[in-house]
Amino acid sequence: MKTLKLGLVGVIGLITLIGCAALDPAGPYEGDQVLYQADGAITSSYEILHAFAKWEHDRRPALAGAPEITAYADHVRAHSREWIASALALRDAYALDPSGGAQDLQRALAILREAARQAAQYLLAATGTEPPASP
Amino acid sequence: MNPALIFAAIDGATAILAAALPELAKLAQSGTITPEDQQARLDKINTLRTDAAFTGPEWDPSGA
Repeated sequence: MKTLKLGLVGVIGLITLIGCAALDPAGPYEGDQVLYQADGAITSSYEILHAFAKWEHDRRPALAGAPEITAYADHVRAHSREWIASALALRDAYALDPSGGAQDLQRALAILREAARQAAQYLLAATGTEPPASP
Repeated sequence: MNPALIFAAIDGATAILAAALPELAKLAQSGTITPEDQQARLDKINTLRTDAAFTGPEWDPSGA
């Protein structure tokens, strides 16, 4: 259990981590690290947001004493589609023309990462690993 | 609050985070990423372009 908790503490750090592995140029990303990392940030952020929304939905009665969690889950439900769509649109624009748009893509990813970080903090708080975060 | 419900929430959160760790750890992988692994990431990103990614009761507003 201690090992698991130590691993969980690393979740928030991993959300913002930049990988350093080399891409096989024969792969579909053709060696484009920015695009590969962007896709990783988008998919991992989605996974956390989805897991958080499902966790809150499935355990809403147990969370009745923490209305801020349901409020944040509703915020995630209301905006996840637009956050992901925006990141995907800018990701696609970057894929077509890597010479421009990287900063816009980074800004969209920053919004996603922050939302996922907040959701992960609520999940971590529920495990007793970290104190609740400010909404 | 019912203690059983509280423990259910805690266990659920722990399971979710434990399940997410391997996926998140891929962000920190080292070595060479194979074409197959790259294709898997590309396939995953394409699932997010579909309505199915945001369909299900968990995506419905709580009404609170």
